[in-house]
Amino acid sequence: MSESAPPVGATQRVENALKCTDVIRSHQKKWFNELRRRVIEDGEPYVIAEAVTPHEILESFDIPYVANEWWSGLVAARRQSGYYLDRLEREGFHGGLPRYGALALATALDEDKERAPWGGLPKPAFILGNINMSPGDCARDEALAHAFGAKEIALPVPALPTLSRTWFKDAKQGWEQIYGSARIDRLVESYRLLVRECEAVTGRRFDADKLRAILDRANQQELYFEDVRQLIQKAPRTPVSLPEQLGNVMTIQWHRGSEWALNAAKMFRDEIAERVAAAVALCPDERYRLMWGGTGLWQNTAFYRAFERSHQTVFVRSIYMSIAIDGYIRFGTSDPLRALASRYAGIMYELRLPPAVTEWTIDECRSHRVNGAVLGPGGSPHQHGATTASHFMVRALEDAGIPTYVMEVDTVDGRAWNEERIMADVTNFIERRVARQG
Amino acid sequence: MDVLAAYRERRAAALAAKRGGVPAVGYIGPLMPAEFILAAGAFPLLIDGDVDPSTPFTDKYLDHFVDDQRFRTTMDRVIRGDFAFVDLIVVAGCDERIYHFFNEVRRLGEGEGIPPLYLYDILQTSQDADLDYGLEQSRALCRRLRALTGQKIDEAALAKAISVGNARRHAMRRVAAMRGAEEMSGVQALRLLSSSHFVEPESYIKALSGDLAEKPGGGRPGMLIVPASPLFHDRLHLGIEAAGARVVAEDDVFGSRAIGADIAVNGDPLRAIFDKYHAETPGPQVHPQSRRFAWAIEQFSAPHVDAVIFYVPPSDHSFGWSYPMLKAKAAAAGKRQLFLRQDAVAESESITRAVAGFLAEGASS
Repeated sequence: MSESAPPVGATQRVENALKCTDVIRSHQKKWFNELRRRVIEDGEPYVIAEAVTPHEILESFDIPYVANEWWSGLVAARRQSGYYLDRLEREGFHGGLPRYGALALATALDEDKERAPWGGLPKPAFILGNINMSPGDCARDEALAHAFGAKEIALPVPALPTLSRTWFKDAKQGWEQIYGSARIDRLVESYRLLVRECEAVTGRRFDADKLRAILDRANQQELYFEDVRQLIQKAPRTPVSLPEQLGNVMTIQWHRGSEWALNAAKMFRDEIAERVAAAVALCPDERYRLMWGGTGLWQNTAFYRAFERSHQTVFVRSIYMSIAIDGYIRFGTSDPLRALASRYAGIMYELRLPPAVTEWTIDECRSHRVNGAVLGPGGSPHQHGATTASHFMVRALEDAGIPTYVMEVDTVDGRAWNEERIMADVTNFIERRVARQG
Repeated sequence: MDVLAAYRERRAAALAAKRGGVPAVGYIGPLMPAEFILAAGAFPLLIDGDVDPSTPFTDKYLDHFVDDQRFRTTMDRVIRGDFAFVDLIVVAGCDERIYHFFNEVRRLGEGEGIPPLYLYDILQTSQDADLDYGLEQSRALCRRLRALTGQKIDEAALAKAISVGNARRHAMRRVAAMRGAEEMSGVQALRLLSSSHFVEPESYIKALSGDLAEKPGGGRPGMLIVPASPLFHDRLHLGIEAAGARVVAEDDVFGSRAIGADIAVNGDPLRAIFDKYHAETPGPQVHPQSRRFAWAIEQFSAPHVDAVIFYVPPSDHSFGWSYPMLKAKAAAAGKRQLFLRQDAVAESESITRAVAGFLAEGASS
């Protein structure tokens, strides 16, 4: 890292316990170094894509991609978000803009390329984004494309008239009915444009069979995650920390549909199963389980382990593994573009809007046997209007008998971290609400 | 019909029509072709924000992160029952959050005052597939409106609605011309143009054909406003003009952007209506941004625009991504710019001070 501008934010570091974590992390680092080499030295194309876009299409063309939000998470985890967010403001992007997902733009604009993780992002072939209920995301993607001098492709998501309350049980098979044929058709049309762009970038033809195989592998990978989820839900004491779960799931999801991801998911599942069988517990005297709601607290994932010794309290669940299982699996891949489109026809609603998100979260709390929920404000709460911590959500959880605390901290902006206040508030919540309810 | 009174009491004309037996259809979001509602024989009424910031009904459901007064007050007034008299509220797809929130409030058993809802979705990309999707959405909306009013929405009904809508645009152009000729203040122009969303078209056209001239005083520098979100109020204009400037245009559906081109009178009228709104409405999801802001960028070079005011209140969490690009475009056109972060509803005097300082700085340089 360059001199000056020391990391801002929390200072704790996360300890990892799983053997597979080192394997997965080192693969990711090696993959990115290889990506840089392929892009810079060999001139191969790669794409910066929003997290909730059909990466599988890129995978089917062997086009590597970096998920924008995950890049933000990586920068935040290195405690560099403060520096880069200041940089954005100096460029004229005001401080009220959502920070989640903004750090790729900041690293692209910053002249000191070596400061960024892994030496920064090289110029992509194009930026892939969505047009949905967060219009700012699309404008931000255009600014990112402009910063790189690259093209931007945006996939419009049609409005959804009816939100299912049981999508997490039904959508894997019943997606056509839940999301509507006309909406799926419209999404497929924009996917065809993406396919044409990929064909132009690579000089290769679209292979539907290859895409289908990728989707089928992704389905199998998510089923391994389902095994992990069930192991955590049923184990007397949780076998894995949330930071470690998050890191592994995110990296595997990044590469979903690949043989590597499938094998990594199985390795992750097998190790969790071994730990459960051997009664290995993260916190041997675990008493209380908490759920984290909203985007990951990337600026300080050590927070998730801060209450193990003091309060025998563990975090066991976040949206990441559960949405991979409940939101990504699509059976019936005979037309792989339609199956893929059906995933993105609903997923942002299911992460944000009641009753889709509230019913799912309650179900998750119960199945994970949590004693309380801590909610972050979500990625771009001002825009979405329904944050993970909206009163709709708090009320739904409390009505379901789940004590709920809203932690008002930006999940990536290290400048917003106030260790003393946050620890005191969460301690208070555990002692006064969670422990008393038992 | 007192059009300016309708600007203050926005429900009045619709309530009067309703009492006279005309169905009322509310709409939320800029992407609603009022011509469909007119063709169904109903009164189209825009439902939008309120300058009174209190939102006790919304506060129960939304946390403080949702800090857009326009959004919160719109939601609040509908839940409170202010629009219980309308027969249907059509929500544009780009504003679908509020549609889902209303549904959820009702599901919780607390939305007795919320009328029936309908979601109408137009996608505003440059992709060809927008057309088939949007036309089917439009046909479905017409079917819903017909079920509501019982009036057949055939080509003749749509053609008549287009004719009425175009006549309304013609009347609005007179307002724009008077403003351009310094015969009308920006405040007055905004109020008159905005009222097109609250007054029945024939009455509106008649009112705008009368004597509208003011004597706002000439020689004041002309300001183009580029707001972060629709101006449901006149506070920004009041604040700017109190400082001695003149608002000559605004990139906003409540003002200059409410006019646009006439709807084509040849060919399929449903298609013509769709094409107009798809192509011209400055909705939040227009893609790419160059299309969304093409009108404003063109205005940067207009001779009557002396400076550009970017109005970006603290509740903005989207427009700011486009601001540096627009700022550069305005600078390239040789226009001075003022970046206002104050909330005009809460801080009108602060707006006036900022604009006065800006004008003084310009005069001294």
